[in-house]
Amino acid sequence: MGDGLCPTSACSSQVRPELETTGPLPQSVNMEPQKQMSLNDNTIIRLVEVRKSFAGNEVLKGVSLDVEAGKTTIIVGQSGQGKSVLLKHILGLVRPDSGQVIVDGVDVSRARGKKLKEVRTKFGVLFQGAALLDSLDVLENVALPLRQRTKLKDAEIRRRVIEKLQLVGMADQLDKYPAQLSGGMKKRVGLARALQLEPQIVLFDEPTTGLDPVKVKDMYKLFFETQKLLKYTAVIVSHDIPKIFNLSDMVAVMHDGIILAHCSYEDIQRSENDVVKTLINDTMGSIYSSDQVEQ
Amino acid sequence: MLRVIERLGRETIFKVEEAGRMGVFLLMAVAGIFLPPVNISAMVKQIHIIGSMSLSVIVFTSVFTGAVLGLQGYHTLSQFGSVGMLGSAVALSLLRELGPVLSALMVTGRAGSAICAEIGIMRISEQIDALECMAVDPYRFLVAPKVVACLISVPILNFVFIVVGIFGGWLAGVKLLGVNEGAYFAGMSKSIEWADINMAIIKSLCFGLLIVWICAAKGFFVHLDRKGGFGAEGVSRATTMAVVMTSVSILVWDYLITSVML
Repeated sequence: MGDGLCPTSACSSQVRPELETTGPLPQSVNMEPQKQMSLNDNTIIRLVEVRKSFAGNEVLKGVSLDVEAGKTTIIVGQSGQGKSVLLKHILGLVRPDSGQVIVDGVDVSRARGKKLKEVRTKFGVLFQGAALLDSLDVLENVALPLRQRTKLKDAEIRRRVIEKLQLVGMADQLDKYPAQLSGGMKKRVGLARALQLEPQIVLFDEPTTGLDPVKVKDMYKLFFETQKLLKYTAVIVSHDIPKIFNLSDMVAVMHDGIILAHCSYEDIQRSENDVVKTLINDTMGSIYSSDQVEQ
Repeated sequence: MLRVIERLGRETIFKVEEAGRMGVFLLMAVAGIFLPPVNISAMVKQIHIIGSMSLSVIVFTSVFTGAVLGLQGYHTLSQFGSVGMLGSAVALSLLRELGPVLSALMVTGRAGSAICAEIGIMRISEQIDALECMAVDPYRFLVAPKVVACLISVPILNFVFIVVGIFGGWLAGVKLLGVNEGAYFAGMSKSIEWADINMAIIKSLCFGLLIVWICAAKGFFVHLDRKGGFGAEGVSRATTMAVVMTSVSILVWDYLITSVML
């Protein structure tokens, strides 16, 4: 299944997806058999040969990736390798020049209007800078999905907002505005907002960027606790290598617009590919295990 | 030669794309007004920001516009012995042209630039992406309240400008230069027709729509700027472009509407 970049049997690469084995597909997907990837029924996100250029600069050069439901997949790679662009493709914010992005059976690269909106209701997103609406206070930011997508009464909205803010330890900051919060606090509020409607999938774009080591650990702890409680599928994009590997079920290494390797973190540590080695093995000293974080 | 043709083609494609984008933006923004849930409180807030907060600058500029009209009109009309027509001259100038145009230009400078900068910053800081990810329509949530606010505020500000301008003309003409007060107001009431008022209403509605359309769209699509639409510089460039484009569009549309309605 691998192409030689990653030596272990569990490790796959999407550099040449036409070499991958066939498997069942989501209902709405219609692909040629030779372009199908290994897939089990649990796959919730699938990218097939996704290519994207901006002003002649090819950022994604044929990315293929499967994300299993209920699991944590971490996409790592150095800055500027196209990781955030990949996330935007999954969300349907950017459309690929070619290829497919399938989320729960719907091709978001072609979906528009209501259909795209329906797919997006499955997502919660924690953006790199939290992307809180700076004209709204914490309460209103976290209440926004409820106000816009439900018909709940004010009292119930407030109760649910406080419940989610308690989960991230921010329930005492209701009336603060984003400009009055630190980077870590913003991310906590952003996470509370992302989890407000208890989505199936939560995407984290560089969740620890700009945080000090203590806050990084807190963030991971928070991630563990919320995932345990809400059982969402997590996709984490990060260059925080390899501190977050032990949080994951699968790790995808992205380099120069392609996925170099996609396997468990134990397998990826044994990779003999030079780029993967450079990215991971040279900096292996500080892995956070889930046990450590839980402590 | 080939390069020139290639460049021309690229430029044409970009302009057609931009025009299409702007057209779709306007349709989505107007549709957003009627899509549930209608956010009345956001509309009221925008009327306060765009309308009420522009009131002082409108009053200030209109007093002096009216006063200078009174002053210039007095000296011109006195050469023909028609000083009694001063009220009509001031009122008609304000109602047909200066009121709608100057009030719209003032709103562009004060509120249009703020609309563009606010939406532009929201775009570059991923706040609009966040809205879309939460399946919240940014046109309905962000732009539609501003469209409603501009369509309500600009005509009201226009009439405030006209009324205060007439008062400015009265100050200069009647109080400073000694024109008969009765003649000033009597001439005015005789010469103004409903068609003049209709023209003022239509112009200010069109200008209100132009302001919110161009300024909001420039901010909304700041990331698509060919010169690099990111960061403070990108927002600043978009804001400058928005104000310039809106001001020019107001003057062009003023001519077109006048030529059709006269």
